Amino acid sequence: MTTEFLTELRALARTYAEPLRATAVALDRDPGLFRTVLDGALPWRQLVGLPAEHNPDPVRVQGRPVLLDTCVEQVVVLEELARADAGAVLALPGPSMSGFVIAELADDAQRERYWSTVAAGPTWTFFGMTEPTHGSDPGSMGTTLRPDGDGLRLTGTKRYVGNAARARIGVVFARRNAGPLGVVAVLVDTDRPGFVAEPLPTLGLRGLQLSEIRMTDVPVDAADVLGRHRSATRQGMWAATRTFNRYRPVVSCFALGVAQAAYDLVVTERRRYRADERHLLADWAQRLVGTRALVLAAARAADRDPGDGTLASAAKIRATRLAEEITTTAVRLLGPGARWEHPLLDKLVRDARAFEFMEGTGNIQRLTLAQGYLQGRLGDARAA
Amino acid sequence: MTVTVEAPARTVDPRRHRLLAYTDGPVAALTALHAATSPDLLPVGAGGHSLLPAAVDARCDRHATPAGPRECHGETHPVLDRIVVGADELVARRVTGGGPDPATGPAWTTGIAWIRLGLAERLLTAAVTHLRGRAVGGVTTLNLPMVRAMVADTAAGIAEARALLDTVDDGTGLRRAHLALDEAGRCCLHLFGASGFLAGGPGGEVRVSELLADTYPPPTELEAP
Ligand SMILES: Cc1cc2nc3c(=O)[nH]c(=O)nc-3n(C[C@H](O)[C@H](O)[C@H](O)COP(=O)(O)OP(=O)(O)OC[C@H]3O[C@@H](n4cnc5c(N)ncnc54)[C@H](O)[C@@H]3O)c2cc1C
Repeated sequence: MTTEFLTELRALARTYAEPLRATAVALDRDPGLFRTVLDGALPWRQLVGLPAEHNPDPVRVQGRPVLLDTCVEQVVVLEELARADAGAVLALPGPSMSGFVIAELADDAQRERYWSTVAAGPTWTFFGMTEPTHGSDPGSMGTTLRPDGDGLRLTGTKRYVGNAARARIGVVFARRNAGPLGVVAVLVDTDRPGFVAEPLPTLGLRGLQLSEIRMTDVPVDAADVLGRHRSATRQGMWAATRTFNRYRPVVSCFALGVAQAAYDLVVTERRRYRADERHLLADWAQRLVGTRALVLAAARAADRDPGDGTLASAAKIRATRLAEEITTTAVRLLGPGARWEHPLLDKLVRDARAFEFMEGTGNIQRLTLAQGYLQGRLGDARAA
Repeated sequence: MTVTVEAPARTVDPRRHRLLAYTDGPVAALTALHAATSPDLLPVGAGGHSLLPAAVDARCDRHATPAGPRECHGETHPVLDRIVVGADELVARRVTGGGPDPATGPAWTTGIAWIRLGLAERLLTAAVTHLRGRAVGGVTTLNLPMVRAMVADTAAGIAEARALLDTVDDGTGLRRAHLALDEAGRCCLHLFGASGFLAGGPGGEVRVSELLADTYPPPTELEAP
């Protein structure tokens, strides 16, 4: 994809983002209003990465259809939407993370079942990995998939799962056997008996409806187990890692969008600056450009090889830190009581806090990045 | 306009509010600080806002202005937000014409900084307890070196703020103490993982602490005595 193509795509995304900017503060107060956004000006069907057969009228740039099925397209478009309202972007129906797992593991029947459900109307999906006592350590998960007569039963609790409370279908990771290879991904309809999902009130990104899922002997068929036709090494954890590697650049672009929004707000609201403030603003502007380049490079790397998350971790570290720093400092630049006078700024501060945790904490990203570097995965001079 | 002049209420040791914030949280500490420094008076920050526990807010029949306390005369100041903290609620208002009261304002502003110190210490204690009860690959999370580094960074920020509050009495020291507490709070919140992002969790108290700093900032360089 050429620079001109991506510049045009970004400009187009900016026009799509306009209605979201207008509703950002109201939606944060009452996420229930999101339905009206979906019914209104936002062409969600074109923006969430539906496959060609379910997206008959895709976005077009330079005469080419853009399905938003590559990381590069996603980070360009979603950053612009997140710059208007990250909470609204994360509240969009569609495949989100679970779509990646389907792409990696599903057989034809599962793929058909998943996409016909997701494309039928505004349908939310979820990716259920984290548990109350196991976040950074998913390998120790306690959710189990056990045989029961002719079928299987799913039991356990997942917490901090985006959109689960309103999802129709999603992916649950569960342990079938001991060890990392014993974790499988299961395609679950949320109307099964024993499946309960409830929203958790959060400080920010309130549109996302972070949820807790409680599963008690949820009946599952062998046909619900994703990747059962694959070898033991290409099952749940393998697909989860590749999903994380692909979605981290996307989370980074959300953080970047929030950072850019806080910068935009300061520039709009402040007229005169002291010399030190001018330097600070110039520094932010440069860091936004640098982080955007890194996020794009990470997206390109993820499209090339979803097995390698090294650059994606670098992008997430930088974008997350920038979002936290700019939003927090913007509060001081806009004077006493800035968070009361600028409700949008207050929202940006709260939203920015999420990115540290999504897709693995900063420490986990540092460990991945250091390991990737030591294994020569950054394409640096040593490898040239 | 009724203007009452009061003697500065500086007799209460602000360290007491730090301890109360540490043990009982923001609502108890703000209630005690209010009783000690500004009874019946709605303290107003430099931006013209107030943020008080609902019960305290309801008792105030005067508000602070740069020209001294002023009777509210039944006038209600618009509510900007209600923030739930545990079983209680803080009320934020816009007080047109309000601002720090020269007599009681300094004690209130200094007390707010001490409360924030106690809240930061409370947060770190809670983080350590939380991580003692979690494990990663069989290792207690608190014992991971990277986690220890974050505990140390938070503790360093708290130590700086405390050193400043213990020794200095001017705006610069107070301003820097707030910044050090902001940094410490953010770093410490990372230690909680996603539980720090829940409205009812420790992130809620960090939000209150930050809003207090934003509502009642110390005077800027230009305004400082
Ligand atoms: C907005 C949001 C959306 C989310 N969406 C989803 C979702 O859709 N699906 C899903 O399954 N999950 C989701 N999560 C959960 C997220 O993946 C977890 O929060 C994350 O993996 C961290 O786990 P934890 O919260 O349990 O923190 P913990 O793992 O308990 O971490 C606590 C602290 O210990 C540190 N730590 C932990 N392990 C190590 C280590 N090995 N080395 C160094 N330091 C370490 C962490 O950095 C952190 O500071 C979401 C979270 C948020 C906030």
